[in-house]
Amino acid sequence: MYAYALSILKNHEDAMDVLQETYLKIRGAAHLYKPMGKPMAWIFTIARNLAMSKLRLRNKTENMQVEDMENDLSFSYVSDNEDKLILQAALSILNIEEREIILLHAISGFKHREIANSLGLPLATVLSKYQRGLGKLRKHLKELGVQE
Amino acid sequence: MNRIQIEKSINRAVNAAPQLSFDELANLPYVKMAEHDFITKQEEIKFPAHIKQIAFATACCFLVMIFVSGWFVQNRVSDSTITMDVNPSIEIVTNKKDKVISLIALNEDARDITRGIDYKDAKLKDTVNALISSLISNGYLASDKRSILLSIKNKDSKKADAILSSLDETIKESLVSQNITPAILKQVIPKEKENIELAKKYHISEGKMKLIQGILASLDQYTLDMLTPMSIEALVELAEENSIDLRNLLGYGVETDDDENNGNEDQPYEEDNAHYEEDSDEDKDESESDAEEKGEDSHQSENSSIENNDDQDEDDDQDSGNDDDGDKNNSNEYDEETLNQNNQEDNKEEPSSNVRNESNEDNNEDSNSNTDTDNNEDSNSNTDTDNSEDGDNNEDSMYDSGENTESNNDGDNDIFVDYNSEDEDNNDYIDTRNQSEEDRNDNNDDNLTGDNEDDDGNVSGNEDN
Repeated sequence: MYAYALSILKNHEDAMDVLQETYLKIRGAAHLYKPMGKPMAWIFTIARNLAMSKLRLRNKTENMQVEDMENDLSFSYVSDNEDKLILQAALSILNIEEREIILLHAISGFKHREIANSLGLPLATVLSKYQRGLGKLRKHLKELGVQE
Repeated sequence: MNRIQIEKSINRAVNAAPQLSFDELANLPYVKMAEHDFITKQEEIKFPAHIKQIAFATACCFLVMIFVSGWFVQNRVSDSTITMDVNPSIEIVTNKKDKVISLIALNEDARDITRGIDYKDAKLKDTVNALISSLISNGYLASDKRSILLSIKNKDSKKADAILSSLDETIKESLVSQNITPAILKQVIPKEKENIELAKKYHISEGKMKLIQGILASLDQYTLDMLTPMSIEALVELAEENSIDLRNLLGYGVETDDDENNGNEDQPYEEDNAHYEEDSDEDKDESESDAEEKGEDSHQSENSSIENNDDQDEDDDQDSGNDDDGDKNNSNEYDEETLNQNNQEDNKEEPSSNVRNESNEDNNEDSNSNTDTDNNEDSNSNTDTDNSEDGDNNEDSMYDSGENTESNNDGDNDIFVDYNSEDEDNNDYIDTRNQSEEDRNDNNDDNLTGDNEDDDGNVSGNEDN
């Protein structure tokens, strides 16, 4: 869930806030939940709504510039530079859907079908966006000279 | 760098981030929501409004189609095709409810008949009644023109039979009220393309075409062109003149009200026309005269058995259809044969099979010259009498297994008992019978002309004997 919030907000602190709010929202509305066969989809919807709300609020109040946002991708807690570079690259060059899919696949271990069900997207869309995102990321890393 | 390495790097980087303490999270206060807000609102699968409308409209269309198709199948799809032929040929198409969908005049005569009849959605019986009235008023049905051919095409043979029976009753009621005794020929016809095309070509119904083809199969000298313009009355007469059994031809028979009058209700499809009635009366007269011939009171039971035998023979003749002539020849054959036996045999213990074999050869020649008259039926009863006179069970069984099976079986037993008990008297009787038999054979030739006076003469001659 953290990875999902991070993929939208690109900021560790905001992602942590959204994660906490999501948890509280789920507890507050759990009794209102109507089983529809996809509880994970409901949790992801809450996290997405909170993240988007946070994003809109941040854009209004702080009026942050793009440069500031880029500076915000510091991830000082990541000790491995290469890992930090790859995470920063993933958050900066990929669009929101590609970020969601690649981070969910990499961190949560969801399969493409599960990601498709959770995000409410067609499986084909998930697969194509995943491949395209990875391609873009690989190309970018190659340009940066990151090689294993 | 491959996909897995990239994913592992991202995973390591994200997991390095400080995690929320679950204990802290669990202790955080939360507000129990009374209803969903825009954050927690569950997304329901919503179809666009126009899709709902389209789906509703489609469902309505389906319902309407189901109702319309049901109504159409019940009311507008043809179920039975009935054709009525007198000389005008009329085709009536009905739906499953036996209501008329269409009324088609198949020839020029029929156009006058169908003109002005309001048939749409009318009951089949009402339409047929109207047609019968029109046929009478146009002179196609009268006391001397009473033959009607009813043909039906229906997949369900039981329903076809039921419709034919009900139409038969309707027509009878309608005609009897006009003092016309109808002779109704009925048949169920299958779908045959060739027959349909031929019928269209000659502007007649399929039923009439089938009847004509049946007649043509027996009469080579006629052609379709000669028979198709003929009325049903004429065709029936032609069939009778040439001994064509219409009952076998059509599957049903000619039915008239006379059947019911004669108490034949149990056999509704028996052929019964004027000729048959006259013949049966003559036979009864003759059998009575035979009984008088025998004279003695001791033969009362015999007389009754002979009469019974006559009746049975009539039934047998009717049942056997086209084989009538053959049976009658055979019965005559047995008659003379056994009479000769009786004349020749003084010793009843002589093996009857030998006598029978000898006489068979002689009488085969005679039987070839035998003519087909109904008087033969009377002599048939004599045959039974004479057979039983032999008192030989073996001979009886031989007759039973012979060609003339049923008619001999029927009357044998009664007479057999009587004659066994009175052998001496019977020898005299046999002589008398031989003489009367010769007379009768002469009269049979006369009967070919169909002159009733000859029959009377025959009876009186028998009485003289």
